[in-house]
Amino acid sequence: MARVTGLGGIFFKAKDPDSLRNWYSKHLELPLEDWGGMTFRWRETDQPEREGATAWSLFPASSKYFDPSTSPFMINYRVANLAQVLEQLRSEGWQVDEKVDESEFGKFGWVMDPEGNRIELWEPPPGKSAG
Amino acid sequence: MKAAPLQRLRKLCLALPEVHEVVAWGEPTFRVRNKLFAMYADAGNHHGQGRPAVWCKAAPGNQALMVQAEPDRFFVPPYVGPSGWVGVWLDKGVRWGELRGLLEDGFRLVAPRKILAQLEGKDKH
Repeated sequence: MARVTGLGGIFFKAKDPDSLRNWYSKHLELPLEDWGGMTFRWRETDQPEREGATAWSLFPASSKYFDPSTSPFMINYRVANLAQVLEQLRSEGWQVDEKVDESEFGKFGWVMDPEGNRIELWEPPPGKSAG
Repeated sequence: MKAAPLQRLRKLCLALPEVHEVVAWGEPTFRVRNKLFAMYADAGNHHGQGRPAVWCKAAPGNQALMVQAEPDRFFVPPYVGPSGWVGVWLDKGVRWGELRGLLEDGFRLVAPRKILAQLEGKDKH
């Protein structure tokens, strides 16, 4: 089974989130929502009844959410089976967070890639692929 | 000085029976038996537009009514918005009594019956 099945979200830091947000809204016409980012909605090709969502969101430069990564971005990848992927990554020697967040919104885990980028892995809740 | 919005929010959430706080995605979330009914979104984090807010679980239909009626106070939050949750800005014009009711409504949607009975018991006193 594929470890990663799609993109759950694109998160990046902005020195001036308000003006950068305005730039994307004006020049790329991203339909930004009141909370400041947006969600792309789509359907899975092999199971069109299943909806998916990919989030786009800016973080203030001061955000600690990507730590210990010093990169200005973090990508959320959708996975089919988080426990399995984390186990595989650990056995391959990669730096996987001990912490896993689990709730009705799915399971979230984190790993660092070899260039020090923090990656968020998300297993959407069963029967539902949108957040 | 007024208490910070997170402190006031926390007090309201933790006053409900068996509610516990769990940090997830870098933010405090409020749960009963690990089921979420409220999530804080800090002004300095990525979902706040520079404004603190809380996302509350809500019954179907309420979100559209509330956001349409008072778009300055309520909004559709990310991720949980499609499931009907309501975002409430916490920086100005907060009606804390009303928020208490919203939080309790969200709590009622996720709490098991036994725990709900504790809430009813409390109301009688």
